[in-house]
Amino acid sequence: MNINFSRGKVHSLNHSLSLKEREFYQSIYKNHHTALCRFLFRVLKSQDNVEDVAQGVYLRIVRQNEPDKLEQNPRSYLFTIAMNLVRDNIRRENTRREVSQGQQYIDDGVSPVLSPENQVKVHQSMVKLKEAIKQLSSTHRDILILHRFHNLTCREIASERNLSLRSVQRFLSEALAYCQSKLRLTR
Amino acid sequence: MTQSKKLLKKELQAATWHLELQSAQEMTEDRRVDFINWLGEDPSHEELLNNSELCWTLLGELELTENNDMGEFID
Repeated sequence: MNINFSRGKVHSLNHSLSLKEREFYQSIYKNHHTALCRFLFRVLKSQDNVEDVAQGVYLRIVRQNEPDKLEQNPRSYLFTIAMNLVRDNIRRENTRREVSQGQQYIDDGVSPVLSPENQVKVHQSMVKLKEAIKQLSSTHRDILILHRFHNLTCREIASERNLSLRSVQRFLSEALAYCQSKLRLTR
Repeated sequence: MTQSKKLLKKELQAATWHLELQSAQEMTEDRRVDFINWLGEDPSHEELLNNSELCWTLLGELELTENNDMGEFID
């Protein structure tokens, strides 16, 4: 049976899918739709938009077309996409509210071409970041550098430095929050 | 609590979420629900999370010198 998955926006995509793909996505729907809706209900705290957001999730998985990843851990893949969609909605809602309240519109910092003015800002931010890193305690700095610049995972750092995973995560969050706080004034 | 301490506390929350979201696939359902709850709690949270992500990206643009234990960078 092919219920909601063949409805609405996803339906139009159905035409561009091969039979095998269609069967694959339908099996994902069949096995995980209830869990997805239950998760969305917990997150949205109302039944109103659950089906709509779920349709958005299916639309996105078909578009992203990563069947291997999806098959590996379907629930975690679906829930991650659902989480991102809800985040997008919250972001849009915030922007809408700011605009309607006449607050200063905050741009998202993403600019395809850096204007000279923005280049100066980025340069200033870099100087502040370097300064912030030097001000960190040696443990915070060590862990931040291992993670960000040597690409070690938190688990690897924990065993390398003989610390608990939780400690590494805490040091890292503190280091990032400190750097972030030093960038405040340039924004 | 002073304003700046409050902000720093929120920045710490944002940084913590940002780091956890880097392995979003590993998050439990409860953690995901907690995350969305935090995000919806206050409009500033989404912006602070964006700032964490921006800060993380900018950090990646820095280049270390050979002797990088002291956080020395190439100018």
